[in-house]
Order: sequence, then C-alpha cells, then structure tokens
Amino acid sequence: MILYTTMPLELVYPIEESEFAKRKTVNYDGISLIVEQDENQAYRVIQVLSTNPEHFLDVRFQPGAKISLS
Amino acid sequence: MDHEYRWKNAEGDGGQEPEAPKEDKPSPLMEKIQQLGQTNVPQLSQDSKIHCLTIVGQIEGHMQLPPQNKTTKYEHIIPQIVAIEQNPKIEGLLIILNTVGGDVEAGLAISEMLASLSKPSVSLVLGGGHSIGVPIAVSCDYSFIAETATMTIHPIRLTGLVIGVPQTFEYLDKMQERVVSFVTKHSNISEEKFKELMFDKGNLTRDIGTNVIGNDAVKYGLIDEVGGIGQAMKKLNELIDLNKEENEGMVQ
Repeated sequence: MILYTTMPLELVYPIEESEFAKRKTVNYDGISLIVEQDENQAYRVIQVLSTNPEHFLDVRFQPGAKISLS
Repeated sequence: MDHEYRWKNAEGDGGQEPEAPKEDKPSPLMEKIQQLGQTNVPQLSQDSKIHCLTIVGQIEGHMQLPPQNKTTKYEHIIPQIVAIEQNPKIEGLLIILNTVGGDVEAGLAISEMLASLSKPSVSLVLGGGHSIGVPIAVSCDYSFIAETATMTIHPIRLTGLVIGVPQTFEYLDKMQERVVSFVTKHSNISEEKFKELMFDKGNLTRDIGTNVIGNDAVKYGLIDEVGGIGQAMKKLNELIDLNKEENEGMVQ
C-alpha cells in the first residue's frame, strides 16, 4: 500500500513510547548530555548540550563515547 | 583488463568468511579513531569567553519528534541563553545555524531571547537557515551567511492540517505578521521586499516563496555579510571590545 498524504509521518504512524524511553538527558559533571542506553546498561553519548566550546573537546564526551551513570 | 581482473577477484573473495577479528580489547587510541575518526583535538584554554549555540535540524515545538530526527529543543536552548546572560565570564555568543525550520512559536521564542540578550551576539548561517531559521539568524547583533548557504522564505502553514474555519486562517495570518514584523525590525530588509520574496511564484517548484542564497540574502538586506567562522569570530571580538568600552564609559 502506498499512502499519499501531506500529513507528517508521526501523525500518521504514532511513535512507540519505547522509542522515546531509550534516550534521556542527564547531567554529568555539570554538563548536560543526551545519552542512549545500550544493551549492556551502559550509556552512549549522543549529543553534548552545552554552549561552552571546551565541553566539545572533552575526550570523555566524544560522539559515541560510553559513560557509566551511577 | 587489470581492473576487471581485480573486480572479479574481489567478488570471489566476498563469498569467503572474513577472518575473525582477534578478541583483544581495543587500545584507547583505536577507540578514539573509531569514535571521532581522529586521534586528538586541539585544546582550548580553560576559560572561554565566547560561547557557541548551535541550532541544527528541526526546531522542536510542543510535539516531541521521534529520536531519529535531529532537533533543537527550546527547553534546552532557552535556559542556556539565560545562563549566558547571567554568567559574567561569558562576553559574547556565537550562533551557528543549520536548520530546516520548524515550530513557529518555539523559533520566535528563541529569536526574542537572542534579540534581547545584553551581550554581543553574532549569527552564522551554514548550509541552511530555512523558514523559522530566518528570524533566528536576523535576531543577533550581526549576521553572517556562508556563500553556499541558503534561506527559504515562505508563508507560514500548518503541516497537513486543513484550514477549516476562517478564524484559523486569520490566526495563521496574524502569526505570519509576527514573523514578518520581527524580521523587518531586526534586519535591513523592507516589509514589501520580504513579503514579495515570501509570496513569489516560480522559484520553488509548485510552491510559493523564494530560496535566497548567500550573496542574495546580503543584497536584500536580510543578512549583514557573507562570511565564515573567521569573519564571524573577528566581528564578535570587535563587538565585545565595543561593549566593554561602553560599559566602562557608563561607570565613569
């Protein structure tokens, strides 16, 4: 079936709650990060939410870096 | 012939099982290469007086978009602007834009926050600063656009939702008026010119509006200058110095 519509995809097919649950915003050492939980209960850095350019140079928060939250 | 031979050979190899990688723990250097594609990044001094706000992807409004979408959320941006305004160590703000647009109210909220910031701000449009990205770009004290960057100016619409009653149309019209007045107030473009670009036909296939490219945006007075990160930083430093002088003058 091909559905022709001007409606946004998320209005036609509601997104499952579990999709949103995977990602969360955390505060790590005073820096806000968007992280995604992987299978091993570790968190992978998706995005650094900071305006300080230095935080982007921090090797701990490189894209894809794994951090542990405890 | 050589090329063909190698191609066939490669295809032959493809059927074989790839050699199993050794299950050693990757060295930190290898991890870095995998994560960032490079081994080290330049280090800045501890105190950065210029902060950088990146507005990328879609500007997310009241509806949360699925995680695969790259979005800029106003609940993240607005507290950051408040923090920048309050922190005395921060002297200037650089806005990097590469957005397709998004929610009008959220976009205008960010624009108003930036326009009322007491510290010098410079915006740089890279790639695209479309629809609601236009007011954000012009809200700063000085704006730059990359030569290859584009900005789409088009009328406001509700995606996929049908206008049922005249009031809805009037509401949309008022919303559009807010965008037009904001842009004309914060840039050198006239209302007539902006509306002309907004309702122009033949520029966008089967739609009204105009896709303004780097130099044209400057020509119309929408953006102050064509440039990149170097020029933007230079201008921001100039504005910071000017701001400092003014403040010192006020004390005396």
